[in-house]
Amino acid sequence: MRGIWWKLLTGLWMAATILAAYLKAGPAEGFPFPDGARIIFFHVPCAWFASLSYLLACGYGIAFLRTLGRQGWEIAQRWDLRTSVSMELGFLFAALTTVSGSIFSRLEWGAYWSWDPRQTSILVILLIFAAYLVLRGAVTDPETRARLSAVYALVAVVPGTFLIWVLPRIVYTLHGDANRAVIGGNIGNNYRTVLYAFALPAFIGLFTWMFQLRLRQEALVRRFHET
Amino acid sequence: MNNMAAVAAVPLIVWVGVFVFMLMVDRKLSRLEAVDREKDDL
Repeated sequence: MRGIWWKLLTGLWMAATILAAYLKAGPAEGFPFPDGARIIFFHVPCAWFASLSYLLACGYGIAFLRTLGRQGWEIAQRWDLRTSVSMELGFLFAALTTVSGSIFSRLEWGAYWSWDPRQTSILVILLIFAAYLVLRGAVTDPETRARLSAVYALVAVVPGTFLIWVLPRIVYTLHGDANRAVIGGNIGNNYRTVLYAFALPAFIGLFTWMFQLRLRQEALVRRFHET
Repeated sequence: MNNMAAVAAVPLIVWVGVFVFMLMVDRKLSRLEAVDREKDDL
Protein backbone atom coordinates (compact mmCIF):
# COMPACT_ATOMS: atom_id res chain seq x y z
CA MET A 1 0.00 0.00 0.00
CA ARG A 2 1.37 3.35 -0.98
CA GLY A 3 1.13 6.72 0.70
CA ILE A 4 1.49 7.88 4.25
CA TRP A 5 -2.16 8.43 5.13
CA TRP A 6 -2.82 4.88 6.33
CA LYS A 7 0.32 4.94 8.49
CA LEU A 8 -0.81 8.14 10.19
CA LEU A 9 -4.24 6.56 10.64
CA THR A 10 -2.59 3.51 12.24
CA GLY A 11 -0.76 5.80 14.66
CA LEU A 12 -3.96 7.58 15.62
CA TRP A 13 -5.96 4.37 15.90
CA MET A 14 -3.39 2.73 18.17
CA ALA A 15 -3.38 5.85 20.38
CA ALA A 16 -7.19 5.66 20.47
CA THR A 17 -6.94 1.97 21.43
CA ILE A 18 -4.68 2.79 24.38
CA LEU A 19 -7.04 5.53 25.54
CA ALA A 20 -10.10 3.31 25.05
CA ALA A 21 -8.46 0.44 26.96
CA TYR A 22 -8.06 2.61 30.03
CA LEU A 23 -10.88 5.13 29.75
CA LYS A 24 -13.70 3.37 27.85
CA ALA A 25 -13.39 -0.23 29.08
CA GLY A 26 -14.20 -0.64 32.74
CA PRO A 27 -12.75 -3.16 35.19
CA ALA A 28 -13.42 -6.73 34.02
CA GLU A 29 -16.08 -8.74 35.81
CA GLY A 30 -15.11 -12.14 37.11
CA PHE A 31 -11.34 -11.58 37.29
CA PRO A 32 -9.36 -11.52 40.56
CA PHE A 33 -7.63 -8.33 39.40
CA PRO A 34 -10.31 -6.56 37.32
CA ASP A 35 -8.16 -3.71 35.97
CA GLY A 36 -5.39 -6.10 34.88
CA ALA A 37 -7.67 -7.73 32.32
CA ARG A 38 -7.18 -4.68 30.06
CA ILE A 39 -3.95 -6.30 28.89
CA ILE A 40 -6.06 -8.52 26.65
CA PHE A 41 -6.52 -5.60 24.24
CA PHE A 42 -2.85 -6.00 23.37
CA HIS A 43 -2.23 -9.65 24.20
CA VAL A 44 -5.03 -11.07 22.02
CA PRO A 45 -4.14 -9.15 18.80
CA CYS A 46 -0.48 -10.12 19.26
CA ALA A 47 -1.56 -13.77 19.44
CA TRP A 48 -3.77 -13.40 16.36
CA PHE A 49 -0.96 -11.92 14.31
CA ALA A 50 1.56 -14.50 15.48
CA SER A 51 -0.89 -17.13 14.14
CA LEU A 52 -1.44 -15.18 10.93
CA SER A 53 2.31 -14.98 10.38
CA TYR A 54 2.51 -18.75 10.50
CA LEU A 55 -0.09 -19.07 7.76
CA LEU A 56 1.42 -16.28 5.67
CA ALA A 57 4.86 -17.88 5.82
CA CYS A 58 3.41 -21.21 4.72
CA GLY A 59 1.61 -19.57 1.78
CA TYR A 60 4.68 -17.63 0.70
CA GLY A 61 6.79 -20.77 1.05
CA ILE A 62 4.46 -22.61 -1.34
CA ALA A 63 4.59 -19.66 -3.75
CA PHE A 64 8.40 -19.69 -3.62
CA LEU A 65 8.72 -23.41 -4.38
CA ARG A 66 6.21 -23.22 -7.25
CA THR A 67 7.82 -20.11 -8.76
CA LEU A 68 11.31 -21.58 -8.35
CA GLY A 69 10.31 -24.60 -10.41
CA ARG A 70 8.56 -22.63 -13.14
CA GLN A 71 10.37 -19.29 -13.43
CA GLY A 72 13.71 -19.73 -11.71
CA TRP A 73 15.55 -18.23 -8.75
CA GLU A 74 15.58 -14.58 -9.89
CA ILE A 75 11.79 -14.35 -9.85
CA ALA A 76 11.24 -16.72 -6.92
CA GLN A 77 13.41 -14.88 -4.41
CA ARG A 78 10.76 -12.20 -3.85
CA TRP A 79 8.61 -14.95 -2.26
CA ASP A 80 11.55 -16.06 -0.11
CA LEU A 81 11.81 -12.48 1.12
CA ARG A 82 8.15 -12.52 2.14
CA THR A 83 8.47 -15.90 3.84
CA SER A 84 11.39 -14.61 5.85
CA VAL A 85 9.66 -11.38 6.88
CA SER A 86 6.52 -13.30 7.91
CA MET A 87 8.48 -15.58 10.17
CA GLU A 88 10.43 -12.67 11.68
CA LEU A 89 7.24 -10.82 12.52
CA GLY A 90 5.74 -14.05 13.79
CA PHE A 91 8.64 -14.42 16.19
CA LEU A 92 8.20 -10.84 17.39
CA PHE A 93 4.46 -11.15 17.95
CA ALA A 94 4.80 -14.59 19.56
CA ALA A 95 7.35 -13.11 21.97
CA LEU A 96 4.99 -10.24 22.79
CA THR A 97 2.15 -12.70 23.28
CA THR A 98 4.26 -14.80 25.66
CA VAL A 99 5.40 -11.81 27.73
CA SER A 100 1.99 -10.14 27.93
CA GLY A 101 0.38 -13.49 28.69
CA SER A 102 2.84 -14.07 31.54
CA ILE A 103 2.01 -10.68 33.03
CA PHE A 104 -1.71 -11.45 32.78
CA SER A 105 -1.09 -14.87 34.33
CA ARG A 106 0.70 -13.29 37.30
CA LEU A 107 -2.09 -10.77 37.84
CA GLU A 108 -5.02 -13.15 37.46
CA TRP A 109 -3.72 -16.61 38.42
CA GLY A 110 -0.88 -15.79 40.82
CA ALA A 111 2.18 -16.98 38.85
CA TYR A 112 4.07 -15.76 35.76
CA TRP A 113 4.40 -19.32 34.47
CA SER A 114 2.54 -22.46 35.42
CA TRP A 115 3.20 -24.78 32.43
CA ASP A 116 -0.43 -24.42 31.49
CA PRO A 117 -1.07 -26.10 28.08
CA ARG A 118 -1.76 -22.77 26.36
CA GLN A 119 1.34 -21.16 27.87
CA THR A 120 3.49 -24.15 26.95
CA SER A 121 2.12 -24.25 23.40
CA ILE A 122 2.93 -20.58 22.75
CA LEU A 123 6.44 -21.17 24.06
CA VAL A 124 6.89 -24.07 21.62
CA ILE A 125 5.56 -21.88 18.79
CA LEU A 126 8.10 -19.21 19.76
CA LEU A 127 10.87 -21.82 19.61
CA ILE A 128 9.67 -22.99 16.18
CA PHE A 129 9.89 -19.39 14.93
CA ALA A 130 13.33 -18.99 16.53
CA ALA A 131 14.59 -22.19 14.91
CA TYR A 132 13.60 -20.81 11.49
CA LEU A 133 15.74 -17.72 12.12
CA VAL A 134 18.65 -19.91 13.24
CA LEU A 135 18.26 -22.02 10.09
CA ARG A 136 18.44 -18.93 7.86
CA GLY A 137 21.49 -17.67 9.69
CA ALA A 138 23.27 -21.01 9.36
CA VAL A 139 23.06 -21.36 5.57
CA THR A 140 25.17 -19.01 3.47
CA ASP A 141 24.13 -19.90 -0.07
CA PRO A 142 21.02 -17.78 -0.83
CA GLU A 143 19.19 -20.33 -2.97
CA THR A 144 19.83 -23.24 -0.62
CA ARG A 145 18.79 -21.04 2.31
CA ALA A 146 15.59 -20.08 0.53
CA ARG A 147 14.70 -23.69 -0.35
CA LEU A 148 15.28 -24.97 3.19
CA SER A 149 13.39 -22.01 4.68
CA ALA A 150 10.40 -22.54 2.40
CA VAL A 151 10.20 -26.24 3.28
CA TYR A 152 10.56 -25.42 6.97
CA ALA A 153 7.76 -22.85 6.82
CA LEU A 154 5.57 -25.41 5.05
CA VAL A 155 6.25 -28.22 7.50
CA ALA A 156 6.05 -25.96 10.58
CA VAL A 157 2.41 -25.16 9.87
CA VAL A 158 1.44 -28.69 10.96
CA PRO A 159 2.64 -28.49 14.58
CA GLY A 160 1.72 -24.80 14.60
CA THR A 161 -1.88 -25.54 13.70
CA PHE A 162 -2.07 -28.28 16.30
CA LEU A 163 -0.58 -26.12 19.06
CA ILE A 164 -2.65 -23.03 18.31
CA TRP A 165 -6.07 -24.44 17.47
CA VAL A 166 -6.27 -28.08 18.58
CA LEU A 167 -4.35 -28.70 21.81
CA PRO A 168 -5.95 -25.91 23.90
CA ARG A 169 -9.37 -27.31 23.00
CA ILE A 170 -8.74 -30.92 23.92
CA VAL A 171 -7.13 -30.44 27.32
CA TYR A 172 -8.19 -28.32 30.27
CA THR A 173 -6.42 -24.98 30.41
CA LEU A 174 -6.83 -21.86 32.53
CA HIS A 175 -6.87 -19.97 29.27
CA GLY A 176 -10.16 -21.60 28.24
CA ASP A 177 -12.03 -19.67 30.91
CA ALA A 178 -10.45 -16.42 29.73
CA ASN A 179 -11.51 -17.19 26.15
CA ARG A 180 -15.09 -17.79 27.19
CA ALA A 181 -15.15 -14.68 29.36
CA VAL A 182 -13.70 -12.24 26.85
CA ILE A 183 -14.13 -13.42 23.28
CA GLY A 184 -17.26 -15.41 24.09
CA GLY A 185 -18.85 -12.20 25.22
CA ASN A 186 -19.42 -13.14 28.83
CA ILE A 187 -17.65 -10.03 29.95
CA GLY A 188 -19.24 -6.62 29.99
CA ASN A 189 -17.92 -3.11 30.18
CA ASN A 190 -17.26 -2.57 26.47
CA TYR A 191 -14.47 -5.15 26.20
CA ARG A 192 -15.67 -6.56 22.89
CA THR A 193 -16.07 -3.07 21.40
CA VAL A 194 -12.56 -2.00 22.35
CA LEU A 195 -11.04 -5.29 21.17
CA TYR A 196 -12.75 -5.50 17.76
CA ALA A 197 -13.37 -1.84 16.86
CA PHE A 198 -10.17 -0.32 18.23
CA ALA A 199 -7.42 -2.86 18.90
CA LEU A 200 -7.92 -5.15 15.90
CA PRO A 201 -7.84 -2.43 13.17
CA ALA A 202 -4.89 -0.74 14.89
CA PHE A 203 -2.91 -3.97 14.92
CA ILE A 204 -3.85 -4.73 11.30
CA GLY A 205 -2.33 -1.37 10.33
CA LEU A 206 0.72 -1.93 12.55
CA PHE A 207 1.42 -5.42 11.22
CA THR A 208 1.02 -4.29 7.61
CA TRP A 209 3.34 -1.34 8.14
CA MET A 210 6.01 -3.41 9.90
CA PHE A 211 5.80 -6.03 7.14
CA GLN A 212 6.20 -3.38 4.47
CA LEU A 213 9.13 -1.67 6.26
CA ARG A 214 11.05 -4.91 6.65
CA LEU A 215 10.31 -5.91 3.05
CA ARG A 216 11.55 -2.59 1.70
CA GLN A 217 14.66 -2.68 3.87
CA GLU A 218 15.60 -6.20 2.80
CA ALA A 219 14.91 -5.43 -0.88
CA LEU A 220 17.31 -2.47 -0.69
CA VAL A 221 19.98 -4.63 1.00
CA ARG A 222 19.69 -7.26 -1.74
CA ARG A 223 19.90 -4.57 -4.45
CA PHE A 224 23.00 -3.18 -2.72
CA HIS A 225 24.67 -6.61 -2.75
CA GLU A 226 23.83 -7.11 -6.42
CA THR A 227 25.50 -3.85 -7.55
CA MET B 1 -10.81 8.34 36.29
CA ASN B 2 -7.81 10.63 36.91
CA ASN B 3 -5.72 7.67 38.07
CA MET B 4 -6.61 5.74 34.92
CA ALA B 5 -5.70 8.71 32.73
CA ALA B 6 -2.29 8.87 34.38
CA VAL B 7 -1.80 5.11 33.90
CA ALA B 8 -2.89 5.37 30.24
CA ALA B 9 -0.30 8.10 29.66
CA VAL B 10 2.58 5.62 30.06
CA PRO B 11 1.78 3.27 27.16
CA LEU B 12 0.58 6.25 25.14
CA ILE B 13 3.95 7.98 25.42
CA VAL B 14 5.73 4.72 24.59
CA TRP B 15 3.54 4.31 21.51
CA VAL B 16 4.20 7.90 20.35
CA GLY B 17 7.93 7.17 20.56
CA VAL B 18 7.59 3.88 18.63
CA PHE B 19 5.37 5.55 16.02
CA VAL B 20 7.76 8.46 15.44
CA PHE B 21 10.67 6.01 15.12
CA MET B 22 8.81 3.89 12.56
CA LEU B 23 7.91 7.03 10.61
CA MET B 24 11.56 8.13 10.56
CA VAL B 25 12.63 4.68 9.28
CA ASP B 26 9.88 4.84 6.66
CA ARG B 27 11.01 8.23 5.36
CA LYS B 28 14.66 7.13 5.33
CA LEU B 29 13.77 4.06 3.27
CA SER B 30 11.79 6.27 0.85
CA ARG B 31 14.86 8.49 0.34
CA LEU B 32 17.11 5.48 -0.25
CA GLU B 33 14.62 4.00 -2.72
CA ALA B 34 14.50 7.33 -4.58
CA VAL B 35 18.32 7.36 -4.84
CA ASP B 36 18.23 3.74 -6.07
CA ARG B 37 15.67 4.63 -8.74
CA GLU B 38 17.81 7.59 -9.92
CA LYS B 39 20.80 5.24 -10.29
CA ASP B 40 18.67 2.93 -12.44
CA ASP B 41 17.55 5.88 -14.59
CA LEU B 42 21.17 6.93 -15.13
